[in-house]
Amino acid sequence: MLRYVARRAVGLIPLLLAVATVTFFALELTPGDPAVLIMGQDVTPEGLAELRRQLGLDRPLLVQYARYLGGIARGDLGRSFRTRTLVTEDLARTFPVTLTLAVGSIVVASVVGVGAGTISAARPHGALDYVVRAGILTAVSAPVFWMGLVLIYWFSIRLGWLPVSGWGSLRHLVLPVVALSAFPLAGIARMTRSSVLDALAHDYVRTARAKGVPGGAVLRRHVMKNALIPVVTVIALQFGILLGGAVITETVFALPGLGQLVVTAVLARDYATIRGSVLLVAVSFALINLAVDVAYAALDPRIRYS
Amino acid sequence: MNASQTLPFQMAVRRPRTPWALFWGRFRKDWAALVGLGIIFGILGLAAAAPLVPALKPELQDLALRRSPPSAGHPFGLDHLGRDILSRVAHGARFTVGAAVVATLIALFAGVAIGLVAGFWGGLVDEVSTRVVEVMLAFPYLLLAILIVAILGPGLASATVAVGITKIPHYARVTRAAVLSLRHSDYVDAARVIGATDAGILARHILPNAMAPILVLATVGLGADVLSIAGLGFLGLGAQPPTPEWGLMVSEGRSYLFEASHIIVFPGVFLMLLVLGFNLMGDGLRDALDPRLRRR
Repeated sequence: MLRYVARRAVGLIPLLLAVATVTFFALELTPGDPAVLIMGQDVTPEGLAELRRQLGLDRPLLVQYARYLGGIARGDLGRSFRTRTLVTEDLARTFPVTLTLAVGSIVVASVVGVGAGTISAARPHGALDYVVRAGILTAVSAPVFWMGLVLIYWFSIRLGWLPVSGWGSLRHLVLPVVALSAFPLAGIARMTRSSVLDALAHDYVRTARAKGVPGGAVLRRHVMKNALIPVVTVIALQFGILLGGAVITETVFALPGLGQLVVTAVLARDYATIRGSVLLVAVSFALINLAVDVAYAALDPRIRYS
Repeated sequence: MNASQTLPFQMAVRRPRTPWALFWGRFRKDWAALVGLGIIFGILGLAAAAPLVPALKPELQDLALRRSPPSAGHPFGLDHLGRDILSRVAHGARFTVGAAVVATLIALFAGVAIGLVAGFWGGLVDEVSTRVVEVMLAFPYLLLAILIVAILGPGLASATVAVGITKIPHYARVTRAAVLSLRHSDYVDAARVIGATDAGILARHILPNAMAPILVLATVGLGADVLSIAGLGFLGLGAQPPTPEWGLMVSEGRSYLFEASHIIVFPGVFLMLLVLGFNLMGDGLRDALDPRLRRR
């Protein structure tokens, strides 16, 4: 098991190298000179040359690439083209916000989603099943930014229960988490429902019922263990979607997270910041996927890692 | 009026049911899918009709009446610049639907082509495309789209291309898997024995049989693409003002949430309806195209 984790972690290195390479060269393809963009109106040839030297843009592309990779190895992602601050410092400030939001949302989505899916499957075509399925359809169809604004309108402006925007307390977290978790929650509930229904159709469930095991115990002891394995895959998949949704949610609620940083950087052509944040998110995403694969082993003794 | 009732005798010969008839027979019994189809046709109709109705003027500003709520003259009210929201929603349908369709087509054609080649011939092409897909999937979905917008520059066209490219791996994977499962089937071997070329086998035997999962993916994908493109518009990375794209309209209205909430209500409701339509139809298509995949 430990060897498997180690081997997979080593396997991540080429993937992340590819991600770093793609982000580096992709942005180099961009037409236009970031130095010109930074200087704006009052551009002079001398100032431009000086700025290009400071940013390292006067070096040959391969030298820039080598310095970029070398920097990553030392934990240095360069300086923001726009604010001249260290990218690592910007990331250290904003990443915890995004991570809290994303992890909070995926936990809520998983717990509520698995619960709702199980309730729905326990009595297919019952009243609760229809309520859950209607909820799922609504949640996968509503744009996250719109849902966020509707929540702000009702719970902050009309009812005054929760803050409109900002960061700092648990109360600030409630509406963003509700808005962001809705979409993954629906996906998880949908998968749980069909997976539990599949498991319920097995012979061992009928056997358990026939020997008089109460319904709740059948569900807990026999059905859920088998039904949850595909659900874990969906949770990991949804987490990738959620990381993107977090960018939008942060904009809606004015949260000082990575999403805001990325969007501002894209609009300002701040390559160093874009590269750093994309790399960080891809690394986190890769680690989550690794964690999910490991979680399989815990849930499913049939899977053996060698 | 049923035609058979007017005939003096029952026709004895039945034509064999085509795959299309089989599909439609199942699809039309699925009321949820029909509702979805109705919503989509309704919004397509809106998109087609908007330019033909002279009363719909998305650019006309009436600053004196700006932010005024829905009324008889302006059923959806006016926005922060005094523009009629009904006109803007109607004209915006073209941008929102069009962009999602183009994005899906980009992903569909590129992904299916890659999947066919990789699955059928294997070897180096397969190896390379699998690696590329892996790297693309290492980026969280919307983040890859944002990165591509960063290269192309913000705008509706860039957002559309970005979302399309981001979706290529999904189609490539599904197609490749379908091709792998069909490549050694008996009818493919039979076609080869009678001298069919690789291209002929791909076009005539493999692609039609691989189409069902791809079509389902595309329909549900249209809904997801609507959301992504609107999301990029909301972030300011997609459509730019004064385009009446629905995501951008919500973004522009959010500063007036307190005093004029109607500005965000209508574009948001239409976005949700459109996505709901694609989702309902996608589920119906899946059930009708492949009963084995039916959800209970």
